[in-house]
Order: sequence, then C-alpha cells, then structure tokens
Amino acid sequence: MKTFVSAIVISHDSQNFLSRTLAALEQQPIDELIHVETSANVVASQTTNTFKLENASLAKSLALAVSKTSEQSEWLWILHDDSTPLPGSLTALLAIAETSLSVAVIGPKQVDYNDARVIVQQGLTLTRRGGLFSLVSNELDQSQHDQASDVLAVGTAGMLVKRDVFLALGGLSDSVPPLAADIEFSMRVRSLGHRVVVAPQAKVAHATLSLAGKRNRAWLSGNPKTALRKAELQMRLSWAPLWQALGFWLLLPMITLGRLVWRIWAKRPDRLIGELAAAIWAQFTIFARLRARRSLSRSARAAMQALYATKQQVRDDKRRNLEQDEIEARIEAHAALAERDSVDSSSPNTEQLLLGTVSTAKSFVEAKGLWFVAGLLAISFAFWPTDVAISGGATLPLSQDWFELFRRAGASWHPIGHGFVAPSDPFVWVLTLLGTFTFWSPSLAIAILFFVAKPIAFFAAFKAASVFTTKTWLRNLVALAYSLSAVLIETQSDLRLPSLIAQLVLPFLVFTVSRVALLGKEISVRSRQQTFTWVGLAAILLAIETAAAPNTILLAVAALIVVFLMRPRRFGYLIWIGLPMAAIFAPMVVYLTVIKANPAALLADPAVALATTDAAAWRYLSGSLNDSAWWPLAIALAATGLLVVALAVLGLISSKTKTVAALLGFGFSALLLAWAVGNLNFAAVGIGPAGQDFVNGSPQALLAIWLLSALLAIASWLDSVNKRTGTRFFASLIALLIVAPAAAVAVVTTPVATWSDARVMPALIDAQAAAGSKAQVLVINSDSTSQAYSAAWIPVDGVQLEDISVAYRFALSDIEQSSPEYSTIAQLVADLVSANSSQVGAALAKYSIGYVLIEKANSQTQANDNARIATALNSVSQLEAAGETDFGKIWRVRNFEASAEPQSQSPWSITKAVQLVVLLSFVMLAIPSAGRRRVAATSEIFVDSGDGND
Amino acid sequence: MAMTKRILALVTAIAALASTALFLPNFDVQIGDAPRSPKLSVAAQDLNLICPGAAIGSGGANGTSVGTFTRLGAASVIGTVAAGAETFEQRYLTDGYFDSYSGQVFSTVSSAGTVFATKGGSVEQGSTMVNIAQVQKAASARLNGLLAASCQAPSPENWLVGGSAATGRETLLLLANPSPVDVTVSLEVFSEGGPVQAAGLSGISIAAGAATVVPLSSLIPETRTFAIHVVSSSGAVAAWLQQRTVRGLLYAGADFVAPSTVFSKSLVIPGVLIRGAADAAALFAANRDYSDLTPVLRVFNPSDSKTTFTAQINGATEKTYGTVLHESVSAHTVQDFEIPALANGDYSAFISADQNITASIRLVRTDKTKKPNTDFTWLQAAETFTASRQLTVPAAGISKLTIANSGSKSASVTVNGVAYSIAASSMVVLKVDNGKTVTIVSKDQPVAANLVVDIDSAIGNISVENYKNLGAEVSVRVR
Repeated sequence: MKTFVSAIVISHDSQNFLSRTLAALEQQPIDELIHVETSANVVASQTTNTFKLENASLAKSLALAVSKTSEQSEWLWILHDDSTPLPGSLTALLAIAETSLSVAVIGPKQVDYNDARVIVQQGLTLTRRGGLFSLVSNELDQSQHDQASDVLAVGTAGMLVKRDVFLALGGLSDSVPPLAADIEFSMRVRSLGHRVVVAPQAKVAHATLSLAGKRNRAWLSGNPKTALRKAELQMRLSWAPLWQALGFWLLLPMITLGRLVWRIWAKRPDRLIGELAAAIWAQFTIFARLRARRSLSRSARAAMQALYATKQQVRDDKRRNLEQDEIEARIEAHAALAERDSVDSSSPNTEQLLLGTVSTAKSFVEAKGLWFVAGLLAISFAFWPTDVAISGGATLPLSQDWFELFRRAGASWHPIGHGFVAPSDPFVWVLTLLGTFTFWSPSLAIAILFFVAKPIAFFAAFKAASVFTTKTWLRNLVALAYSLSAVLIETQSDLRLPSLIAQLVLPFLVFTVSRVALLGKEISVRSRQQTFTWVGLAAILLAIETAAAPNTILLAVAALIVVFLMRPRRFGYLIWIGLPMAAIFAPMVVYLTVIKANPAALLADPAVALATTDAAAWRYLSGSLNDSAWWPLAIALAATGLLVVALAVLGLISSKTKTVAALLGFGFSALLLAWAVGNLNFAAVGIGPAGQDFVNGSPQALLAIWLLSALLAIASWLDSVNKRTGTRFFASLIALLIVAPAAAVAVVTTPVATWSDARVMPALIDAQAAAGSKAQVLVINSDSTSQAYSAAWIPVDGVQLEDISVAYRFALSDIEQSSPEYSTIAQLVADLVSANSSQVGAALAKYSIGYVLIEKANSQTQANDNARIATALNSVSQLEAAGETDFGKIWRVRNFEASAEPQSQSPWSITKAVQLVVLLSFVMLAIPSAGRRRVAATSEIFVDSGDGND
Repeated sequence: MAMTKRILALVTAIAALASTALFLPNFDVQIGDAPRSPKLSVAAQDLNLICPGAAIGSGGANGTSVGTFTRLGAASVIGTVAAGAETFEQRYLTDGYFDSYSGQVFSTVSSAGTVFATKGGSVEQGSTMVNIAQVQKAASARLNGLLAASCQAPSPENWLVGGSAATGRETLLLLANPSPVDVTVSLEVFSEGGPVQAAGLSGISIAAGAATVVPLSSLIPETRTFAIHVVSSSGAVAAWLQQRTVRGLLYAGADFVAPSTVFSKSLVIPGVLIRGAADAAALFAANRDYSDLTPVLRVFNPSDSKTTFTAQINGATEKTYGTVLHESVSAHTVQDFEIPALANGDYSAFISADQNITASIRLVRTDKTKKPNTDFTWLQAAETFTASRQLTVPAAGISKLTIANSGSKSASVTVNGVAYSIAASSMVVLKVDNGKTVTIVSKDQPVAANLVVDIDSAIGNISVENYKNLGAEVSVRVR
C-alpha cells in the first residue's frame, strides 16, 4: 500500500524560490500539497490548497498546514520556499520510513542551492556546551556521508515527519526561538522513543535565506546571529537539568561577558551585538524559556547525549572554518591586488606575498634600522631622563598612582574646586595607556617617551614608507627625514607632549589603515582575524592621534572617507576604525557643542595650554616655527623642510603623478588647517599653570601630516625610478641636505625640560596628601600691573597632567559668574592679599583650605609681586608661614580642621564604562590571537564562516 | 599629452604653495571667554612706616672691632597723624607698643629703629593720614653730620642710589624686617663698570622684627659709585644706606640715603640748595681731600640700552644761574657727574633721558668756620603729584621746602592754604615752621617737593612720600 504523504510548503514573499520548489514537487510522489504563505503579498504561484497566514511563525504556519491535511495522511513532508527537493528525494526518504518503523523524523541531505555537490547540512546536534552544531557543513559531497545514521535532530527544510507523531507533540513549539524550533522538535520526538535519522540519498537544495539575512528580520525575530544565539540559550535552558538551567541563567551575565571578551579575542566583533541581545533576551524572559522546558529521564538524557557532537568533530569543524575564513580573506586580497596591479605592473602578485611568507623589501632590522635607532638615541642625549618625571612646556608630571590616573580617564566629575561636572579630556585615556607601560611610576613613561621619541618616529615612518616603496634606502630616508623633521624637533624641545604623541602615532596610523584597506606596495593577508588585528590597531591609533591633537579630527575623518571610497569592499572593516575615537569624543562633543554651544572649542589642545610662536606662512610651509637661539640653525632647519616640499612637488612630473598629487593635496589641506589653527585663540585659563588668557592652537600635529605627506610623496615617485645609476649618489645628497642640518639642530637643541621626582606640591603638603588629608590648597598668583590676582583652589595632591581639563577652560567664565563658591573664594583671596584678616577665617574653614601657596616666581617682577603677597599673608593671624620650598612659599592655616570635606564622587559613569569597554575591546582586538586553533573557535552551521557555537 | 598635464600639475602646485607662503592672511578669532575677574572691595592693610633709628657706628667702642655695629644716640622722630587714624609706636624685638598717637603732630625718639603701625579707620591712606620723619644731628668721635630721612613703608624691592665705598668713605646698608617671619634678601650691585659680582651679596637673612647692617665697604671696597638693588623673595623690608665721610682724622659728613622710587624718562630733583660754595672752593684748593665738595649728579641706567640724558639745573631766581649736563650712561651702569660752577642759591634739577632711569644728587654744605666743616646729603628724584601731600617739619634747625614744577605749564600750588604759582621747570623755595605740618596741594600740574634741613651747617633732607597700601578694589580670578 502506498504511503500517503502530504507536502507542506511554508513560504514568505520569495516568489522565485517558491516557484522552483513547487515545480520540483510536481516531480515528487506526494499525495497532496498544502501551501501556507506568511507574507502580506499576493502569491502568484498559488495552488488549490494555498492558505494565507500573515506574519505567522513557522510553528503556527505548520499547525495551520497540518490541520488542512487529509485524515489519511501518514507522513508530512515539510519544505520551505527556499528548499527545493531534488528528484528522487521523497522516494529516498520514504524508503527509510517504510523499512524502519521506529523512525518518526527523517531529514534529507541539504545541499547548496546552486551547487548540489556541496553539502550545507546533514543532521543537527548539540555540542557538550549546548551549542548548535551541524554535523556536516559546506563540504564537497564525495559520498563520504552517505551512510544513513541516527542523528539528534534534523532541520525542518525537507523534514519528513510522521503525522501522528507531529500531532501528538503539538507540532513545533512556538515558544522557542525559530532556529531552535526544529532541533527542539526532533529532541521531543526522540524523547517519545522515536528515532530521528538522515537519509543521505534524499537531497534538498536549500538557499538558507533566513540565515543569510535575505528575509525580513521579523521572520527570525532579529538578525541571524542574534537568532542563533537565542536558539542556543533556549536549548540550554530547555533541556539541561533544572538546577543546571537555573545555574546557567544566574551566571548568564558573567558567561556573556566572557563570551564577549572571547569574541573580541577571536576577532569577531560582528558577533557582539547578537551575543548581548540574546543574553538580555534570555535574562529577562526566563519564565517563558522555562515554560518550554522538557523533562527527561536520566537514561533518555544519556541516550540523547550519545548523539551530541564529539570533541573531535568540534575541533575538525573549527579547523575547516578557519581554512574557509582564510580562503575568503585571501580572495578579497587577491581582488585588491588585481585592482592595484592594473595600475602598477611592477608590483608582485603572488599567494606567497599575501601570506607574508615572502617580501620584496628588507625588514626593518635587515634595513639596518637598529643602527639608525642607536644613532637617534645618541643625539637625543639631552632628553635622557635624569629623574622619573619630566615637566615644562605643555607637560606636567602624572599622578604617581596609576589608579588615580585611571580615575580621571573618561570621568564626568573632576576634583576642581568644589567639584566640576563635565567630560574629561579624551587625552587622559592616552595618558592612562602611556602610564600603563610604567605603572609603578606613570610619569616615567612620559620621561622615557621624550627620550625615545626620535627612534619611535623613525620606526613609524619606516613602516609608513613601506606602504609606498619597497626600496630600503628610500624607506630609511623618509624615516630619517621624519624623525629629524623641524616640527618634531621643535615639538620635542618645547615639551608639547600631546603634539609629540600625535606625531609619533601618525605614521603607524597610515601603515595600519593601509593594511586594513589593502592599500600599498605590500599586502599581507593571512586571515580575517589578522585583518581585524589591523583594524584594532588602526582604531586605537586613530583614537590616540585625535585625542592628542583634536585639530586633526576633521582630516582624519576625511581621510577615512577617502579610503572608504577607494576600497568600498573593505567598508565592513573600515567602519570599525572610527569607533574608539567616537566613543571617547562623544561626551566632549555633546558638552562643547550642545551645552556650551562652542563647537570650535573641540579644536583646543589638551594638556597645558601653550602658545605657539607667531610665524610667517612660509615657516609653516617648512614646518619650522620656532626661532632658534642661533639664527643659522633656524634657517637650516627651515631650509630642510622647504627642500622636502620641493622634492615632493617634483614628483608631479613623474609617473606617479596621481599618487603624489593626492598626497600633496591631502598634506596641503593639513597645512591650511595648521595655519588656521595657529590663528585661532582659545581660552586658556583653567586648572594648572596660570598663563595667558588666550593661547593660539598648536599646529604641530597638522604640520606633521603635511610633512609626512610630502615625504611619502617623495617615496612614491622615487620608488618608480628604476635607474640604478646615481641612486646611491642621489640618496647621499638628499640625506646630506635634509638630514644633516636637522641632526645638527637636534644635537644642539636644549629642551625646556626639568626632571623631578614627580611631586607637584611642596613636601609638606605632599605628605598631607599621602596621609589622606582632605585639605584644599589655595594657590595665589598676582599681576601687579593690573592689581589683579588669580587663585586656584586645588586638592592637596596638586595638579597633575591628567587633571587638566579643556572643558573647564571653556566653562570657567560662566562658573566664575554664577558660582557662589567661586565668589567667596575670590573675596577670600582679596582679603588675604590685602591682609584683611577679619573675615578670612570663616571662608578658610568653610572650604577646608589648609594651605596657601604662592608659587615660585619666574621673574623679578613676579618675585616682587609675590613678596607683596607674602607680606600680606604674614600679617594674617589665621596663617602661619611654613617655609620656602622649590614650589614656592607656603602658609599653613592655624588650627585647621576639614569642616566641610570637598565633594567626592565616584569616577564611574555610564560614559566612562562605555568608553572603557570600547577601548578595551579594541585593545584586545589589536592584540594578535596566539594561534590558528584558538583563533578559529568557530563552527559554521547557520551563519557565515567564523561563527562559533560552543 | 600626459607630460603636459604633469607639468601643468607642477606649475599649479608651485603656484599654490607660493601663494600660501606669500599671501596667506592672518586673522584673529577668539574661542571661548576669559574669566572676567570681578572687582572686589577690600579694606587696605594697616600701614606700617619704619624709621631707621639712630646713626650706626661701626667698629665698636674703639672703632677697630670688625663687624660690630652700635647705635649712636637716638634720632628725633616727628610726624603727623590725621584725626580718625591712630598710629602705634613699636620697637623692634618687642611685643606690644609704647605709645599711640591720633589726630596730632607727635614727636618721639628712635634708637634701634621704630615701626609705626597705623590703623586708618575710614581715613584714606597716604601722607595726609600719616607721615613721619626723623632727624639726628650726630656728633661723635667717628661720625658727624645730620642724618635725616622719611620713615618708609617696607617693600620687597628697594633701589638705593647713593653712597660711596672709596677710601675715606664708608657705606653701611641698613635692612629692617618688620614682619613676623624671617626674610632673606639678595643684593645686586651696579657700578660704573656694570653689575658687580661679589661674595656675600645673596642669602642675607634678617630675623623677624629685626634689623641688620651690611657693610658695603667690605663687600665692594674701593667702589666710588654704585647703586644697590635690594631684593627680597619672601617679604618686604625697609632699606637705607648710611654714608659717612672721613677726611684724614676729621669725620665730616654723614647721611641716610633713602630708596629711589621713581624710574622714568623725566625726573625732578628739587631742593638743590647750594650754600658755602666759596668755602668749598677754598677748602678744595687747600686740600685735595675735599674734592667731593662739588655737587654730584648720580645717574643709574637699569635698562638694556645706553641712555643719553640732559639735566637742567635751574635756579629759583633770576640771580641764580643754573647749568646743563648732557651726558650718556651705559646700560646697567651708574655714573657720577659733577655739577660745577653753581653759585650759592636754590636750584632744582630737571632731567630728561631716552630710557627709564633714576638719579640722585649729592648736595654738600660747607662752612669752613665750623668743625666739622662739611656735611652732605643725597637728594633722590622725587615723586611728582597733583593731589595733597603732607610732611612734618623737624623741630630744630632751618627747614626749607622746595616745590618744583616738572610740567610744561605753570602750576598752582597751595602750601598750608597760601597759593603759589610756579612756572614750568621752575620752583618755589619756602622756609617752613619747625615742628609744624605742611600741606601741599597741587591743583593741576604735577609737582615734586623736598625738604632740606640745615642744623648748624649740617644738612639732611626729607623726601615727600605718600605711602599707602592698596586695597580699595582688587580683581581676583578663581580658576
């Protein structure tokens, strides 16, 4: 007797796929066809048994379809609109059904929709950790899986299920996520004692539209990655013993956190949102999850676990996925190489090059880079750190406690006066990162950085040059010219820490972005994971660059857009690069543009506000702005800059006109912006050393972009010159003209630096800070010419570099007008400097002022002013002189008691937490994963390669 | 074609860069606001005036003990305190006060130096609230002469232009610290050759509420002409030079050199009252040791550039012809210029220079019939004013007040209510009553004044000072 088979097709607005499926069914020995369309659209390929059930889930659609089947129906053949049965598939399925009465569910071999030789799925199971696992994924069908066998589950696409079993179980559960419905159903079938098997001879071509994200997201209740993770969580909560399920639920936040970290480590940032969304979903719908629980006997559970994926299967799957991932990455890289080589026939195009196993150029060490490093260190002797902290110029010591540094980073509350609420400078994150290298004494990292700045610049520029040339001498020349450039030398000697950091980071940023975008002379791509390492590095470097020199943000964004346009296929990688920058700048952008209505303030320099010499436009062109003590040196330095520009411009008549023009055009934009920034005067009065009311912007970082662009233009066009004759002479000449004068200047330049033990307050007050004193210090400065005084109201541990706030500089004028505390302090200072002691006691006590400090004078005029103040303070009965120190003269408040402790708020805020998470994520992303096996950590069953399931 | 495009690109780039280098405009855009520094009213600090005290004798009882300084007698102090204000007379190294004065002319004595602390109440500070001076006619075995000086407010910086450390001349630096904390001062010495480097010029410590004496003659021996810059980094001090002159065995002349307070391109030194010019010439003709009886103009140029100045020594009447000096002084140097051929009479010096300078005049009084037969005093460039000033005339001797008009127009001045008109670059010299307060009011033009005191052919001078502590309004910026 013929078995009665009802075919059920569930479709959702996929007319083309549906037509093919319906046509294929005509070739199958089915007895009836029930079609359910879940979209609102009119279906062209309607059958006599077509039903509409708009926006219904798969479970509900199937329930409707089954209810419409004939009573004599014995088997239900479930098909999706995108799963087309190949000829003979139903026959093969029925062959098993008829020979094995215990079988209730039979799955076909799912093959690629367009290539039947590729198996995309053949049975499902779970890993030991509860992850969904496809027993076969994307394998070429060589009959290696043609033995029929029991499996834990099969997918619904092409599933043949006994009608009575289906009805007995109530069909697919509608309370579990769509991607868990089929495996959950199969497990329920098994729990009744039936078997679930795969019929390898039955083939169904499956387009996996839902998992490929080609369907409406409502179909999966989210994107495929989220749906997949939801399915995994559901299976854990439904099928594990209750105590395990509850324990898992309780630990889910920690587990999710761990998985997020692991995802980043595995260079899969695209999975983070799915992980997070699914975890939140599971956490807050626990009762719904538990309602779908099924109880199993211990023996039934053991029987099912026997069908779980073995460790070896999981390992093999990971390896295959990694290989697939590498193949995909290299295919993309090949395309980029092909595109490049169409305009540059001189470049090699080999698989070995992509793998980085061979190189057409010498490495840094082979290029004798270490000798140059040694030489540059030697001429940096003036910056040898004689103590742990360097100060002067725009630099102050950092807190000697790394955790204090970390408290300031990203904080929304500052211990300035009675507390100041505003975003901290993004630059503080840079300081925190820098301080991490010498965490026991964070200031030491800055002191060392100034010493090794030139060698770092050399190495960075060498890497940047490698994007444009394979010639060793050219790379070295560019690196030397950059590390001995006028702008770098002047930045270093002026102790402009932010600008210096920006200049050191810039060439690395060029190099890493080129790696991400597959631009440049050498393209090395091993895997997607490696690319994400470059993404992480580029993103961190961009954040550092812009945090140290906010006036480069516009150019950085413009450059990224240009790279997007050049490499639209790399959008998926490039889009991540701006994220850390956006995260650390977002609060500041909101504060300055929305709250303070002063968007131009975003261009203000972090750290100590330091004016830049007013220089003529041609000096900007040369990159040399300072006037050297000995004028021939200043002229020589400027001349080297102009020579670089002239050489770069000459490249316009070479064969590399477009590249040179693009680089010079970009650099020229930086030059104009540098000029503009140098003419902008930013409010400068704030926490930290008192200076002028306004200082102009620091154009050094932008000038470095100009110079680096010119140098890279030189590298680009000279790289195209293949004549060996005279090359050595030419290189020597250029080196002599560009490098020698700059090196001479570097040797004789004396920095404005002083090295210290990182204390920023007199020992007496510092000791109080170390003892945890809550006292405040009133620092008074005077300007006798205008009979004006300024006072800072600071904690006993003083003002370190991380305390300086750009936001405060732009808020101070408003605060001073509106704050009663500031008015009281101002009156207190006025009374003190006038020796009017009758009213100072109350104010000193109210604001917990324990010390008054007159900072050390820098000039005789200031010394006279200080002496006048000192005379007045000596007359104030509430104060007693505590001595003269290296930092100035201090007075102690008699009988001091901290009557009102200064406000102290937690450094943590939502913005800080977000920034920290983003930054840490990208730092992890930037760290290369250790090995191939660990990198892979993925199992592909539903989504693209690289996804993980265990 | 390709090469044409390249050359075009090259030319365009060069043009763009050249335009940038040459024509890029400067602009000035301010972003953000500077704090406005509100003006705050505060009461002024009580005004302390310090009198140097009695003349200082060096060398102990027999004059041979190096580094031993003793006070010689006591100085007579006289002053005026306005009604509503009260001055408390204090002595160094003591707590409390001896006496207080209010709304009166008072007199007292000072030996080791005295601090007069004045509470002004509602009275505005200045010479009309309190002015105090001291005089001492010293007559001892090793110091003779009239030492007079205005009592001064302490300052962290004092310039002293006067004195000599040449053979037969001794100059002591007297430093007084009225504050309750120790103070350390440093000295800068400028001579005819420029800044002088010498040991012992820095780190001079003055104990709280004490005075100290620095013998300049041992620090900068044989230096005839100098200016001293007293710098305190930690508090205000008062400073004077005490110079004495010895001619062979005759101690003939002494004076306190008061600080110079005026550095300007235009200076006035009133009160050059020449007496005994013939006697001076006779003494000089007989003995070369009397070479310093000619009045001397000392000019100190603290600027970084050489200065050229013109000093007009104008007489008070048609009968007293003055003279003119036109000289130069190098940067950071001090020089003496003799003012020859001045007949007896009343003069004032009007000096104009192309740099900010300061100057003083050593005025000599000679009467060969007396013993000692000479005395001198250093007149400092005087502050010009257009408001009221007061001073109190010493009780002894003859005191003459010189008011010089440094303006370009006639000045209308009243002295104790009597009106005078003083032509431009001219002066009026008035004999004033001993022990009385003199009030000078200049209504329009800036004038300068000085009081020269002559007691038995010994002279000294009291400058008209207007000490006040600033207070009324102070700008404070809290950052």
